[in-house]
Amino acid sequence: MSAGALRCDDFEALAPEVALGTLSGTERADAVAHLASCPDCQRRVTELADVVDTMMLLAPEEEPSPRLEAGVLAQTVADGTSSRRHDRGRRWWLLAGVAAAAIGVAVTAMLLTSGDRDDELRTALAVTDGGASVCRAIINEVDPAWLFVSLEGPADEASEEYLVELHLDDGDAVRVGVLEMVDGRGALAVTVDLDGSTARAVRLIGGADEAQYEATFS
Amino acid sequence: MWDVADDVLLASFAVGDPEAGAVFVQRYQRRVFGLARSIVDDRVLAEDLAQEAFVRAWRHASSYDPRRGSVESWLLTIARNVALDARRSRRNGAGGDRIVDHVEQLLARDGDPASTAEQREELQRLVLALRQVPAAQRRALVLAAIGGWTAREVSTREGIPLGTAKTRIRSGLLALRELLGAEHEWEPQ
Repeated sequence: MSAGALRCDDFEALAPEVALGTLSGTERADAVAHLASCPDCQRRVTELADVVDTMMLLAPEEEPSPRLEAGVLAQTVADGTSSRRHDRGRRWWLLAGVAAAAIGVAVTAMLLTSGDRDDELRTALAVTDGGASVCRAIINEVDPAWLFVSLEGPADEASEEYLVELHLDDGDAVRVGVLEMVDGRGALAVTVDLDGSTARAVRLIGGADEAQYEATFS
Repeated sequence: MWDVADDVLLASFAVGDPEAGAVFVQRYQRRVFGLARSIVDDRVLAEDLAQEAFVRAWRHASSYDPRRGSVESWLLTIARNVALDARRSRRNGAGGDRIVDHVEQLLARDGDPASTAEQREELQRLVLALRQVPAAQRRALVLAAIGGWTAREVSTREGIPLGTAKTRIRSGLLALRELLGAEHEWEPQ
C-alpha cells in the first residue's frame, strides 16, 4: 500500500522511531502523513509501541517526597469535583456495580461513603526505622470527615492489627477503627463523626497497647 | 483497598474517590517518579512531572484499554511522554548511565522486584526476551525507549555514527518484538 509522500517500504525504516516517539522534523511529518491513510502501517506502529510501553516496566523505582501524593490528591479530588460533578452520580452507581462484582460489598460501601466534596485535604506522614515503615494519613476538613490511614511496614511486622486513634486539637482522642496488616501492609478508610479540621494527629496502637506510630497532620 | 485490582482502582480514582486515589498513587508513585527522574535527572522537576502524569491518568482514565497492556505500563507511558516533553524543552540528555546500569542489573539478577503476580509475569517475560537482544542493541534501545534519547543523542553518547545508532535502535526493537511475539506478521506492500 502507498499513502502520502512515503511508501510502506520507506516507512518501514522509520516505524521504530515513530513508535519510540523520537523522530523529529520533516521525517516525523512525512511519517504522520503516511500513517493517517495506511492501516497496515498503523498496525505495525501500534505493535512496536506496545513493546515500548511494556519496556516502561524496567524503569527504576525511587521514593518521592510526600508532596507528590498530596499534590495529586489536591488536584484530582479538589479540582475534579467542580468539572466532573455533573455526571458524578451516574458514575458512582456504575462504579458501585463494577466494584461489587469485582471485589465485594465492603469496598463498594466504602466507595459510596466518599461523597462529592470540594474540601481541603490534610496529610500526615510518619517514617520509622530509616524508611522501613511508613505510616500515611489523609483527612478532609469537613464534619463528618473521611479519614484514610495506611501503613507499610516490614513483612514480619510484630502486630497483625493496630487500633487507630484520631487525636484532636483539644486533647481528646477518638478510636476510629482497626487497621489490619497483611504481608506488611494495611489500610483503613472510615468516615468519622467530627470536624476534620480539628484533627491533630493519628496514632496506631499496637499489641502491647502502646502507640507505635504517630503521624501529625500538616 | 490494597488488594483491589489495578483496573478497578483506576476506575475508582477516575470518578474522584479519594481513598482509591491515595492507594493508586502509593501503588505506583515510586515507579512513576523513578521513570521521570531517569528522563530528566532532576528530583524537583521529576516530582512535578510525576504529579502531572497522575493527573493526566485520572483525567484520561477512560482511554485505558486493558487489551493493550497493564494499568502500570499505561501509566508509565503517560509519565514517559510527560517527562519527554519536559526533557525536549530543556534539551538535556542526562541520566543515560543510570538507566542503562539499572536495566543491566535487572537482567543480571534472578527474580524481580515486581509486587503482583501480573507484574511479575509481564516483567519476567520482558527480562527473558531482553537478555537475548545483543548488548549494543539493547543499550541503544533502553536509552531510546526508557530515556527517550534520539538516535543522534545515542550516537553522540556511544561515539558511533548516526546510521549505526539508528540501526541498533531499530534492530533492538524489532528483535524484542519478535521475541515477545507479535499478534500479526507484517510485510510492507
